[in-house]
Amino acid sequence: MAEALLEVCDLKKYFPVKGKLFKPKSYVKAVDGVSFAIRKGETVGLVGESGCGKSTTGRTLLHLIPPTGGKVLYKGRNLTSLSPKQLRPLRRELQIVFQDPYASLDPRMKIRDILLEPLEIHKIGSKQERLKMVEEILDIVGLGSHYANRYPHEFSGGQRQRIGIARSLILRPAVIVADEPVSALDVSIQSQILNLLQDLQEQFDLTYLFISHDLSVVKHISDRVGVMYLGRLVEFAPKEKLYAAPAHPYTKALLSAAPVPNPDARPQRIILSGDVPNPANPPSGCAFHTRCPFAMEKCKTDRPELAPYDTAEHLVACHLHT
Amino acid sequence: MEPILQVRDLHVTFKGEDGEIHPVSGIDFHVRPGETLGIVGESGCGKSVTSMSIMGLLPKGMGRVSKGQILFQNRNIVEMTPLQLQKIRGKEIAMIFQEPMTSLNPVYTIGEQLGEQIRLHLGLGKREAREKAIEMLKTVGIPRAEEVVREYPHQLSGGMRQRVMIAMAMSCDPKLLIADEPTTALDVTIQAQILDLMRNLKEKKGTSIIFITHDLGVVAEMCDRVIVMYAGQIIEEAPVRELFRNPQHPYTRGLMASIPSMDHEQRRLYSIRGTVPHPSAMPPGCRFAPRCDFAREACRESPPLRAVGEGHQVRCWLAEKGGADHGGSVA
Repeated sequence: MAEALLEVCDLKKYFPVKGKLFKPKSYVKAVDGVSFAIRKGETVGLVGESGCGKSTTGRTLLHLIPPTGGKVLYKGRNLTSLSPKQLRPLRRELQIVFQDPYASLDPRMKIRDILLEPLEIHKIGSKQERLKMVEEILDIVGLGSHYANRYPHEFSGGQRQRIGIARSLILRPAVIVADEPVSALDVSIQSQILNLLQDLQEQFDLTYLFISHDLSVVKHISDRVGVMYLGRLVEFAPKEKLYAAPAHPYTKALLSAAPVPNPDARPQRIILSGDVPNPANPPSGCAFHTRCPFAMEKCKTDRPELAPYDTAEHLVACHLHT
Repeated sequence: MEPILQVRDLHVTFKGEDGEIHPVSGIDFHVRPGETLGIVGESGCGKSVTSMSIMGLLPKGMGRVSKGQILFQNRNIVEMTPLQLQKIRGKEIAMIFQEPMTSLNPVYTIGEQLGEQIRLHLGLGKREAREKAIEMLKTVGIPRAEEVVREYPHQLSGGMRQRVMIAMAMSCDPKLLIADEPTTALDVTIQAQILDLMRNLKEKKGTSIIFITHDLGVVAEMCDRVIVMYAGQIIEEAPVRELFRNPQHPYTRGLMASIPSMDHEQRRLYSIRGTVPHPSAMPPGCRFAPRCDFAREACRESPPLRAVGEGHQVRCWLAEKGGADHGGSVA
């Protein structure tokens, strides 16, 4: 088994909710004690519905926003204990691709300048070398260097996402957090970008954390998958396991809810009642117990911990399996 | 059975920065009573513009129906006066939009918004309208409906707002419901709830539905018949099983092959190269030819929509031979 390149231990991110007068200050526990490890060269997928904390996990792990608690170990160094100055050289190795290719590129900058910026910040190469690197990276992501003189608005959504990928790839990172990178794209473009991400992974030996709400996309691209619900991991397993034999009732419901492009397949659907509870005021015990068809008395009071299920690789946080 | 809606050779023209564009250029289709017709396609294919023209909601001064007819129960919507349209819209043809937050008015309570149209179309008094509103909210599965009528849209979750939109659309028992990406903004577990609700309502009331979506999974689950649109044209039309079993147009096949499968492992996904053409620069001949793996000499000329099987039509020169496989296996 390959060693972990990145290890997340009990990561927490609490956002304060603006306190009302005479009311105690409260917190939204966006990420509440998440632990997992990513091995070199693999893709870990993180799925869950809106507000489950998957994006916050990605951003906190990169220290784009400081964590409230927990540790992030990269190559054995604890990022949380480093000063911003010590962190900076490591940022080069840990990059992110954002969801919205329209909002994440500065509309007043030419593609060349967008791609030069990270190189200048990290003081890589001479001016000549930098320009050469920009041309190279545009070819690598399948755009062609002749596009360097254009502005973001001249590109389609798929092309913009290629620019976003080029921007994070130009620093030759080891880890890329891809936060819903294909969610804003049409299906025919989505597959182009997914293929590109896979090609780049092989070519540059990249390690991915792939965050998405789309179960089929995560299954396609990941080696191991974590399922989040209200700031916690409820299940974490190799994808074959997770999709073929999910153990957590939430994972089961989530998988059964996804529509399948086959009119003859009428899946046995588990329809969850109600909405996801407010993360500012999550239920006690197991956060899922309010919607869980199998909830027991114990689930209302005791919070289940992530523990091995049938194999050491398959982890689940549910009282049904303890 | 006589179709409830017939769209004949519909052309829609928009004023663009550099002259006119035609986001919908010559589409024909019909909807039968009680049927769910799916319209699938990617951004810019003209599916939403089509639904806007049926509702008479094209932005004034910008877009207009430049040719063709939209016959709703044999009356042409295109030629109706605004007053005539008002009587049909909301009462006989209702619509659900993608984003329930932007389609509800934030400064009125749910009860006021639901009640307004009930009073307008059904001629009920204030108290009766309120009772009807509460009844509708219960039908769409909203808990504590008596309180919700007094609440504002921001107090409800996305799924609940979409239920309110459905309650509003169904309150006058419309004959035709146009659902434009009704679950796209929702999470999968909530989407499953809403689709379930729409199926039940349809079975109970016998409403015809036009279901517009980009999600082939949702189409497979909800629709009886499907139209695939590309660049302002219908490129394939078939009953839902036939479409998924025997897709004929290279674009339809490409779309299906682009989706990662939940059942089996694929190392690489099929991808359609290039991007959708801009409406101001439509390629001559077949509009899909520049992205098509099977394009040939004949494709320089625009192919007509031709029947290849029972209720199955395709706009492709290659699909000529009675719907046989043309060796164009993708993926």
